[in-house]
Amino acid sequence: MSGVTLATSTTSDIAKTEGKACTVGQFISEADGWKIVNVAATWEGTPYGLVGAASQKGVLGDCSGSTNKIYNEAGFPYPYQSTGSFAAFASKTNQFRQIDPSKQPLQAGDILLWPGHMAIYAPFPSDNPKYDGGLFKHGVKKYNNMYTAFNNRTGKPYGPYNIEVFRGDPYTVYRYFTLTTPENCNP
Amino acid sequence: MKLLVKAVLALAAVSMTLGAHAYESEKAVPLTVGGRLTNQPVADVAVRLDGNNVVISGTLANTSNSPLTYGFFAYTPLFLRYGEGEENYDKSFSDLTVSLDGQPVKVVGEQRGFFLGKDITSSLASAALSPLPSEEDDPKDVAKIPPQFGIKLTDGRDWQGFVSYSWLTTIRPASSGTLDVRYKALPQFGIEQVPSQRFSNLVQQHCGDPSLIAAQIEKMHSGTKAVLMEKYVVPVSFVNRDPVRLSISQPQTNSLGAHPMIALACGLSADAEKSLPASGVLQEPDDELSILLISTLASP
Repeated sequence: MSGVTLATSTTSDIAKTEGKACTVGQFISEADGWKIVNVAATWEGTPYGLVGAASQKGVLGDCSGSTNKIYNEAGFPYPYQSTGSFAAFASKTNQFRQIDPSKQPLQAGDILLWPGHMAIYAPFPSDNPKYDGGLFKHGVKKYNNMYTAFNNRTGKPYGPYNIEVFRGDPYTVYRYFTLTTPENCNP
Repeated sequence: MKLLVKAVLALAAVSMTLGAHAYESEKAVPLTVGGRLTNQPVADVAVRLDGNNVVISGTLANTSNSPLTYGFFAYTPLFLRYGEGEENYDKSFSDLTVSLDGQPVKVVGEQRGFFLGKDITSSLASAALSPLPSEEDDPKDVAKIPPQFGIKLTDGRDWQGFVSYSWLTTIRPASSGTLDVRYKALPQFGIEQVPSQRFSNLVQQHCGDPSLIAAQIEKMHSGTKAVLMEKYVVPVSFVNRDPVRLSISQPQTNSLGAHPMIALACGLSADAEKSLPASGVLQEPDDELSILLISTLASP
């Protein structure tokens, strides 16, 4: 994939990138996004614990810590960010860029960010065993479309779940952005 | 009583703290406790925070020759329901109990639903829906709600909930009793970096010195870079600036799996803040007491 100059991109927020040197690079591909989802799958069953950066696969993890470790393990590293600092980090470093879902469809591996929570988008195809988690609401099936940490209250471990049931308020979407060379980014 | 309910609803609408954000951090859903304007003053008010359980105590005195009835209420702000992932999922405070000298007092509860500040409880009832928002609501029932402000509601979470409680206590002539109000608090919480702007803001809001508190954390747990900060807001509208005894005790591991180590509240002495349990008498307090708990995160 060739590099993208974001000043002409319809998918980035120009106001956030204007005046910065981090302007040349590319979004990760859908295939790369599935690498992230596949690593997230290896976190399934990890018990919930509000431990932030200390999250460990199979041991204990929360939403921001697990997301960070999954990205790092999938080969898309970034320094740990809590949900509260993630948006500012993305804006400052351009290592993630906000996607406008009305202009560009979500892809696997995108980060879904709410106030106080983040998760990894995972659009399982209907023949994927993760697609149907047996989740029903009023006799209507709800299908899994993300990987998420849960909470202390329910005791549910890390795993696939349905976005809408988990949380009803709007989220913002961030996609990992690979800078072609480090010298293209001098924030 | 009708006037009192109206006043409570109006207050709630004004203090429209819209609910708890979820998961790694959430906002508080405080329960305001208050009494009738004509109540005799409540003396010796004390607030105890044990884990996330709040106990508000006070002495109700009757110096007259006839029985004296006190009227009290408790109410939430208008709150949202986000979904299953919330830690503060049930905001109805259905565990609220009241006792007088250890004897249970009957508490009457009321639940209402609001949409953009308008009471839509009767519309929700007509659609066979509970007043409180829930993702569990059947979309077919939600579709029966008449449009509100020209907007068709489609999700059982598309309105705000409100819960209030009321109770009466009668004190015999020339006697007194101890009122206890107990409930499980729904605090604001979040992981915060040490130091950070947010850490400083929260510490300063509770009359602490961020650099001293950071040093204290380092002394207690060397190398700590992030902590869990929980803010317990306990509004007690009959405090009236009178001294309040505050006691804070915490388990070694709290309900979020963290380990409480420091409590801050404006008026607590610096010595009391250094360790838990903490206690002291708050002079000239606000009606809305606020307690900050700082905990180390669980170790995987």
